[in-house]
Order: sequence, then structure tokens, then C-alpha cells
Amino acid sequence: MSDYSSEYAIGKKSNIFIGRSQKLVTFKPFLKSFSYDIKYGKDSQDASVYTPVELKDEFEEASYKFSIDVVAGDAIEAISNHSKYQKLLRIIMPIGEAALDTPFLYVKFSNLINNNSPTAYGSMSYSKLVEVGKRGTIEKLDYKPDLNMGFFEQDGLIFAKSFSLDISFLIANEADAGVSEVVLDEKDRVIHGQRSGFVYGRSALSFGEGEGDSPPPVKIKDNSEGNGEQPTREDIVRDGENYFRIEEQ
Amino acid sequence: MKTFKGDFKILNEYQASSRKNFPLGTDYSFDYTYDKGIMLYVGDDNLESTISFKAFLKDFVISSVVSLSKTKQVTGQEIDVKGIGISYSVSLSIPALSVDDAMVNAGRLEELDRIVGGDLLGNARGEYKIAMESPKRVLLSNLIHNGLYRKKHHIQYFSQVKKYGVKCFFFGNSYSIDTSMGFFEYKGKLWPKAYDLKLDLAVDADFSLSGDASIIRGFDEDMSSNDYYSLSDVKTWPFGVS
Repeated sequence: MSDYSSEYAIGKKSNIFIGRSQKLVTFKPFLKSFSYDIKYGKDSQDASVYTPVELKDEFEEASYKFSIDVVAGDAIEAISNHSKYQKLLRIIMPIGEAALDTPFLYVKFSNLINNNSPTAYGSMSYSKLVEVGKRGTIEKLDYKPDLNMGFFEQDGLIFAKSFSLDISFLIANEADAGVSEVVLDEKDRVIHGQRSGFVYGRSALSFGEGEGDSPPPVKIKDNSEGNGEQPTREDIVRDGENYFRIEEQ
Repeated sequence: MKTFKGDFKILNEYQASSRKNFPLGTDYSFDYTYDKGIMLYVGDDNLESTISFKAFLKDFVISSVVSLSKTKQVTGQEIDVKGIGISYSVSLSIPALSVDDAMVNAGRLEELDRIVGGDLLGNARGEYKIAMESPKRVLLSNLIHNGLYRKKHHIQYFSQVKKYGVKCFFFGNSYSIDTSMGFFEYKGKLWPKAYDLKLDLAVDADFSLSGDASIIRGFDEDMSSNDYYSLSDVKTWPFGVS
């Protein structure tokens, strides 16, 4: 038995791809929850009353927390879903017997989790995933069957008709997170730095591009001279189809 | 070593009390769960005994946690894996349909406490300490097993629990009385009609199965792109899917 969800997910190019070491598993995007958290630490340099204090936001880590339902229309699909979970467990494991190498893996979920590449794909090869997927580590993976839905029985074994996967996906460095260093002045205004394709492949300052475009670059006005003003939305003008910038004053 | 299997028979076989004046009552749930092979078994290697519960599951979670050490750097953090923790969290309801059944349920929970509580070691001075906890065997069909439960088995002996059960450390074991269900009153004592039992089990993933296979291993460097399982991986944990 099949339902339309597979075709729908492929058609919408919204499948979730997770892979490492040439191995790849795919889940349909029955998304229950999704959150993104980014942590910065602050660092200050020695200064006196005559020396402006420069505060620097240092990237610490970013993490996605999302939960998906993995549902089955029949016993065969339920077995397949549990097989995927078994494989996903191995994907998050350290490699072999070696002394716990960090298991970096790649995740691509449409434009919600991507490596500055919001283009959505219906299917994906591992090499493509490495190119467009976000690199990080799954810190926590929870499997929880929906007991109200019950189980399929197959050859004396039981398989949950539906289960949820709660995934905590950690990105530990700036390059993988897709953010560059952001430098603030003494009033916490941005004087240097940009966030490219951050977070969903499209800057909040841009809109109107076609689906699948690369994220437009955003230039932030250099306020290092210190005119005392924070850039506002009115400072931003459209320059060409895919390019926005702040007018120099 | 003395085995307690015979003494604990009543804790496993719900309608098989040898005492004719100790009827446990009957309903279809034991036949159903036994026939379906979905009893929860907890076994102890030292006692060579088991207790079992009908799997009236209320909650079930398999949690995998990659424990990381994080070293702060300029552009983020350098992370190293300290370890991997895999645990089960299981909650189930333990109802009783008769006074005798309620008394036996109390016995099952007392025995569970004994199994997971560790052994008291004493000396001549009357000093006692709890021996280091040893892992226990836990089996619940293909939901909790060591990867070798690939078809239905009728579990009758401790050897079967030992063969198919996963080795676990109990880091949480609590039960509460379902007071909304009330109590049986019998000879001046109260016997709860239903309990809620919660077990937190940390999987001992290092133990080797036959042929030195482990329940789970990460990828080998030389694995082909079509293989998802290491050669030393049992390949069918945690759900028995080949």
C-alpha cells in the first residue's frame, strides 16, 4: 500500500536528508517542531576611559532542534522506517573502534537546514548532500513510538505504526554555521561582519527572488567611523535583481 | 549457586500458581501478551531468575546521546566525543484483577527492587555495603533486546532471557500507585489495584554477543558505500530489522 505522501514530499522537494561516509537516509518532512538557537559569547578588550571599548561577539555554537513524525501506511513501510532509524543510529556513531572520532554528518532539509544553498531537492546523492547540507553533529536522538496508533505485527515482531524522532543537531564552528565574525562598536552596533545566507538561505533584508536562487549578498554599512546611527530599513535600496546594499552616505 | 527460578515461578506465569487456594483470577490479557510475545522480562544472571510484566506500555523512548567535550576557540568550538549513551525509558501500567493478583504484583515489584538494588555485602562487624551494580537482562519482544530477537519466541526459561535480553544498567526504577483505581482490602491490608512502573535503562553497549558481535558499532573506514553496518555489528539492533 502506498499513500501520496512520498510523491508529495518529493514534489515539494522537502525531504529531510541525513548522511555521513557515503551513507544517506531520508525522512518525509512530517515536522512537529523546529527551532534554531545560536549562541554568542562576548569578549571585551582592555580599555580605559580614553580608549573606546570594542566588544566582539564570538560565535560559540548553533543548534537545530527538530522533531518529525515517521509514519507508515502498512507493515512494510513500518519495517522500512525502523530500518532507517537503525541506520541513522549507526550514522551518528563514532567511526569504528577508533578513539571516538567526532561523527560529523550532513543534514539538508529544504531551505530550513542548508549550507548556504536553499535550493530544494526531491532526491539527493551523498556527494550532493556534502555540497549543500549543513555540517554538524547529532548530539541527541530520541525515538518515541506513538502508542495510541499501535503497532503492526510482522513475522512475530512488532513495529510502531508511527514514531517520532527528536533530533538535536549541533554546529560547533563559525564556518559550518554560515556566519562570519560580527564586530560591534561600543553601542553594540554592527561595524563589521555579515551573515551570508543566514539562516534559511535568504536574508531578512531581501525578498522577491525566485525559488532556488542563491542567497543575495547583504552589505552592512561600515559604521567604523561612527556617525552614531544604526542602519535602518530605509537605508536599504534595491540594486539589481538579486542584490541589496546600503547606500554609502 | 542456588537458583531461585522455581521459587519465582508465580512471578512469571500468571495463571500457573501451584497453590490451588491461590487463584489469580483470569482474563485474556495474559494469553494475549504471552501469545504475542510482548511480555517485559527482567533477568538477573546471578540469581538466574526473571520476573515478567504484561506490557501495558504507557511510554517508550530510546534515547541516544553523543557526549561531547567542547573546547572554546576563536571561531567556535572544537568538539571531541567523550562517549555515547543509549538508554531506554519505559513506563508501563501494572493492573490487578483480583486480590491475589494484586498481592503477586506487589511481590513482583519487591523482587524487581531486589534485582536492581544490588547485593548487600556484610562483614563480621556488621558493616554492609552495596556491591557494584551488575547489568541485568531486559527483554521486550523486538522493542528491547540485544539484536538477536529476529522472530517471535515463547520465552519460558531464563536461558532465553539471557540469550535475547539486552544488558542494561538500571539508573532509574520507580513505581507509583494509581490511586484513582483504588485498593483491594483483604485481611486488614490494602493492596493497590494498579501501579505505574517507570524504568530507566542504560544499555551496556560494550558487551559482545556470540562471534564477538556488538549490538551497535560505528562505521568501519573500509566499508563500502552500500554497507550501513560494521562487520562487528549485530546489524539487527534495536528492532530486529535485517
